[in-house]
Amino acid sequence: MRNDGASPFVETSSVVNDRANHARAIDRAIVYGDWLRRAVAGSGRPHKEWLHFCLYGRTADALVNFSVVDDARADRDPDREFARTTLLFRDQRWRGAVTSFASHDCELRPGEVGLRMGSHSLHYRDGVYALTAGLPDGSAHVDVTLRPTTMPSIVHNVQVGDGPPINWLVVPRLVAEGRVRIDDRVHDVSGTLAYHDHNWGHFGWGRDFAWEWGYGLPDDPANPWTIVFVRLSDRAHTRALMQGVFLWKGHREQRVFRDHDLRVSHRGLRRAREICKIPPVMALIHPQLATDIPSQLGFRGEAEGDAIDGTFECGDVAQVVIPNDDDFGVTVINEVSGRLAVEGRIHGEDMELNGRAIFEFLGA
Amino acid sequence: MPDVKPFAWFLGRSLSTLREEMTPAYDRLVQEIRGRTVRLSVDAEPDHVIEESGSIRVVSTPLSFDVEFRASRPVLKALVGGRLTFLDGLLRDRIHLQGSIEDLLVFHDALQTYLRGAVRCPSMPGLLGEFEASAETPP
Repeated sequence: MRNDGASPFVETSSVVNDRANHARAIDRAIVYGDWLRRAVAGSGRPHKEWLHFCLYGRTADALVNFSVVDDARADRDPDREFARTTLLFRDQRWRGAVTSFASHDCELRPGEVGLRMGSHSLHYRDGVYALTAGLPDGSAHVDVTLRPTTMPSIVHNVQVGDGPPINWLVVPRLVAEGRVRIDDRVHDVSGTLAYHDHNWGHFGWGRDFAWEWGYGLPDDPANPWTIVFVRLSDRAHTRALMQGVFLWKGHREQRVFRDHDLRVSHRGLRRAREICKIPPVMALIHPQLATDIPSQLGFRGEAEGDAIDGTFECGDVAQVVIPNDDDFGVTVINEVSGRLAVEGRIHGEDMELNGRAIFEFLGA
Repeated sequence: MPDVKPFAWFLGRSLSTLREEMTPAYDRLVQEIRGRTVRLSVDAEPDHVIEESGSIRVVSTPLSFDVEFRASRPVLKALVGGRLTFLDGLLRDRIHLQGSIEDLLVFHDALQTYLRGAVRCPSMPGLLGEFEASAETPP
């Protein structure tokens, strides 16, 4: 039974400074928060849910996204849902695939932290995620355990444009153990820091919303700071619906800069010579290389004596191209690798973070 | 060992799938190619796509045509696999297109409608996989 009355996302002072208790508190928050929702029967609108993992290693990167989405076609079958993994790997270049799985080949149990889609799986046990997934052509594979080291943050009822709200749980810092294989190159990613989030709700691709999102983990794992940036806007990127910078120190969320605390700026435009399109067939529909990704994204947060300055320098781009639900257009999720540099002063203490990072820019 | 399935096999079944699983795209395709005949030659298998009484038919009998598209199976596979863009295929002479400018524009729009519908059909990846697998294992 999950609901014993106390929020698992709020620590009591008695657990502070106790590493074992921190681990227990994190574990409890994940068990209580990161479980598979799936659609509620009769909700009327297509439900979407996905669990996203990013592993940004010294020599190889892996993005793994497990999604369970309702049939969104006009004459849809309300009981039909699609289970897919979207995988991106990079050492010398981006590559990836979207793989669909038949329902009889999946284990998707509402209330469980974990799932299986074919040979791709996510399990959570004893405070550790175990994740396995690979490209269907066998050219890349990830097999890692991920130990969360920060308290999850859960944000309910995020308004996205003209639809009902969505929900977001983020575990911004995990420590990986295991390997990523790309072709015949095996990359030991043990000790690498990773990121995880989980989104669910009723919304349609192609509606009047867009997002910019990114996370920052330091090159030096001894650096305790972790950052997540998020901004939701209308599809034209002319009106911000909400924006925030979430900052953790160690396992605890330390500071949030919201909405009017923040100034966000774009400089230049990223002009890519090539873009990996996922799934590859979508390059027939969306072949263009022109994007509205900035070459640099900056943000400055200031509130109540605290301040933070960050700059993300955009690098290589991969695009996940998704058919819109309500028209024949597409929505493009630009996965952009790059470097994030952040400095600031929080609660009277100087902070600094430098590291490779992945930002997402959602476009039309 | 599976039989090599001709392109007409894939084309006919993919249009049926489009009609069943993404009817709005099929209906739009019917409107777009109405009154025109498109000749599709893949590895010298000429097939003709025509609209007739609100349906799209694939026929092999020689007909005059308004637009011709010629390519090979490896080129189709490269297009679907994202290794070749349609434009590069044309510029490198791996795709041949012929027709009046007006008809080529209609063909472009119809092809986009077909593709945008196809990627929304749950059964299409399996059908494409069956076609590609048969081509990789010649008898």
